[in-house]
Amino acid sequence: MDGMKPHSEISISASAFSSQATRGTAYARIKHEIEASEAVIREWKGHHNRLSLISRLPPEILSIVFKCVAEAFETAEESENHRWVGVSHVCKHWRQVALQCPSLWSTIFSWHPRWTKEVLARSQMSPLTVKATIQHPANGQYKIVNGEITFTNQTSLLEVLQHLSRIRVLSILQIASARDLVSHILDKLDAAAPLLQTLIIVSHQNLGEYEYNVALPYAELPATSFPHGAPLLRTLELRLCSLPWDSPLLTCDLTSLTLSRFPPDDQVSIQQIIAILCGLPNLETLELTLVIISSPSRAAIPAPPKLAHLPRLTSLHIEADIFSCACLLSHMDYPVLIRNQVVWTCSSILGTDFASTSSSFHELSRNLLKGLKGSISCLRALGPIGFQVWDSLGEGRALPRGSAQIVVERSLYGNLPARIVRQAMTEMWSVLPLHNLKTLYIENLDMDRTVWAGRFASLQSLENLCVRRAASVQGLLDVLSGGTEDFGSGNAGDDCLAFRSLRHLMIIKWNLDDQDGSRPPQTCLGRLVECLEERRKRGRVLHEIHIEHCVGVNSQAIGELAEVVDKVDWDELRSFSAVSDVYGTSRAWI
Amino acid sequence: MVLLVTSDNEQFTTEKDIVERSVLIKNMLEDVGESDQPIPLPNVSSSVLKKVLEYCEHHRGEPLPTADSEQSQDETRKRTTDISEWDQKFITVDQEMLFEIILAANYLDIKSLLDVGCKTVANMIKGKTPEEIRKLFNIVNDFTPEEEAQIKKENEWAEDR
Repeated sequence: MDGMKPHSEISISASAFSSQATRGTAYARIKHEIEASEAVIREWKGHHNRLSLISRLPPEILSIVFKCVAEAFETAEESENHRWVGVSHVCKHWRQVALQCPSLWSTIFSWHPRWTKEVLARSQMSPLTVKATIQHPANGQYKIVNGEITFTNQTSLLEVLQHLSRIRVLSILQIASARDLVSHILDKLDAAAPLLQTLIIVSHQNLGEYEYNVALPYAELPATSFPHGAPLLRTLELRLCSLPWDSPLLTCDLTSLTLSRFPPDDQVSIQQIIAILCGLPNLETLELTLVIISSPSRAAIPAPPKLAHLPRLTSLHIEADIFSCACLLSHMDYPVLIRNQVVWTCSSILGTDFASTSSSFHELSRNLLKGLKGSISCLRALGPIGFQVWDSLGEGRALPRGSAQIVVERSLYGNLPARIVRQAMTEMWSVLPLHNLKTLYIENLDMDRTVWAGRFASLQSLENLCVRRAASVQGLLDVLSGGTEDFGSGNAGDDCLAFRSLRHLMIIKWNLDDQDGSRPPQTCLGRLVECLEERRKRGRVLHEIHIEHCVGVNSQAIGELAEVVDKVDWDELRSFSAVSDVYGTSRAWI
Repeated sequence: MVLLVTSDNEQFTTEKDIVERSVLIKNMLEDVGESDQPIPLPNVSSSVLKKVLEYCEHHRGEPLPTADSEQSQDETRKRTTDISEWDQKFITVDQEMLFEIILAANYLDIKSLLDVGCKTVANMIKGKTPEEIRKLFNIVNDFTPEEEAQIKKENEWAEDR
């Protein structure tokens, strides 16, 4: 307590009756004494803090703790991601540690001009992570500074972009139609970017994802951008933002490339894209969504001169017309993929004879199989949407965990007749090797007797069959009790029983009250019991039937089923609605 | 087997592959070669070394970070505050032991344990106001009025978006 005086020692000669000058001197002295005392108190507080157990941690470890806190906030809501700064507001020592750790300040998250300046200074020469959202003034993101309307985030971003030489991650999200603002910003990317590892420019429209015919807020990376390239660039993601196809950004060291929705004038031919991919041997992730010039037919696409070898590829996503999808996959060489997704558009099919398109569906399916490790174990058909394929098995009758290895979808843009979808599906399935298929999920897809019999009934390995929400199941019931010889397989006897190895049958959202049109009329449930009885007689008792959300089931029917299968699992829910079903068919039973 | 001697003169005999999770000890053993000589650890008490060895034993056999992976981690890895279930249970100790484990991990150069310790402290801080953090660690506010004013401004700037 060296600097503190006991009360008895505090005395002052002036009083309320003293002259103004004397009182002024006294006031000055009192102020000085208070400040001195406060400084002493702060010093004592500092001593107090040094006794805290956490003070055992040296500054270099405390700064690691602070980084952990800051990084934990990176994924927080935008309104919350600055909260980690609180660690520099705890005490003098913590603030000093935080301010002396430049890398702690390397992420720019707020765009107040003063804060931007402050953070740029605190980060010293640390590599920067810049994540900016550019909004149009209509969204209220502007301020009047020095009498001029200024877009706060834009001004600050321009200042940050002057540090392009030390930016490691640059992510720009354009919201709504702020194209003019974004163009101005992209023009500033004309300097060297030796540390840039990740570049993401995404234009986001405040419209439904599948509004196709709206004027999209395209941006364009100018030809002058990154004149010296970006030697460390590994991740490039451009959505609704095109780039010149000879851009130095398309370097051989890229590991992740996402190009999505380029304006028609900036789209690329298959030959060009294959030539580019030939120069990107390190790619691990590739997404090309609506960047390839649409082709009216497969024959109209000139064959690229060589294959693109992508030995490290693990994830592929292509969205283009069916002819381009087929051609592109045919000219890519890749190993086993963790995920291979193809979304084919349909506009060019509508005016074309389907027969001329079917070879492209075959070609597509054949090439998708290149990325599959083993044989197909599980197939899930998603009605008019597409299908998914796994080469692994789930537990029991469940779908395998995780994403499917192959996903084929038709684009939701446009309106494709159901007939075409069914035909397309059948064409694609026809080349899939299903001889080891164990689990089959059919959802929202009506297949007639011919398809059930021709494609699935003779599969010897199929153990689990789930049919969910089919408007008509007569085709399946026709096949279930029969033999494959009934459908021209030429075999006879027990080995030719349809679905010979079937152990589990799941029926979900069926109307079991439906009349099957037979004479005398019989309900689906009646037919089902008959089919299973027939299988039992032929020594192929079903291990379990699972009935979920089905109409027309009652305890008596369950009793009948229990006599012909080992186990009946019924959820006792006797109604369902189409409203909650995203893949709803035309029928709704309530 | 390796013999370790703590700051309070307790001796611990442990298997080489357990204790070699410490880069410091691994290097010492490589320098000294085959020897029965005890390794003194003057900065680690017996109660803390017991915990550290428990951690090393649980994680024995897991790959040690290489120089390359450490560099790439520093560059690209996100220090998420996720901690495995076992590690969480292991590190549920009082503040004094927590900080001592961190210091020991730093001294012995056991990166994964240092990470677990730092993430644990970060989790204690995350979501708290400066005042709540002070209360948690028995810290008092020792800022000058000028510093307080600067902090207030910073808060306004940081929240502006």
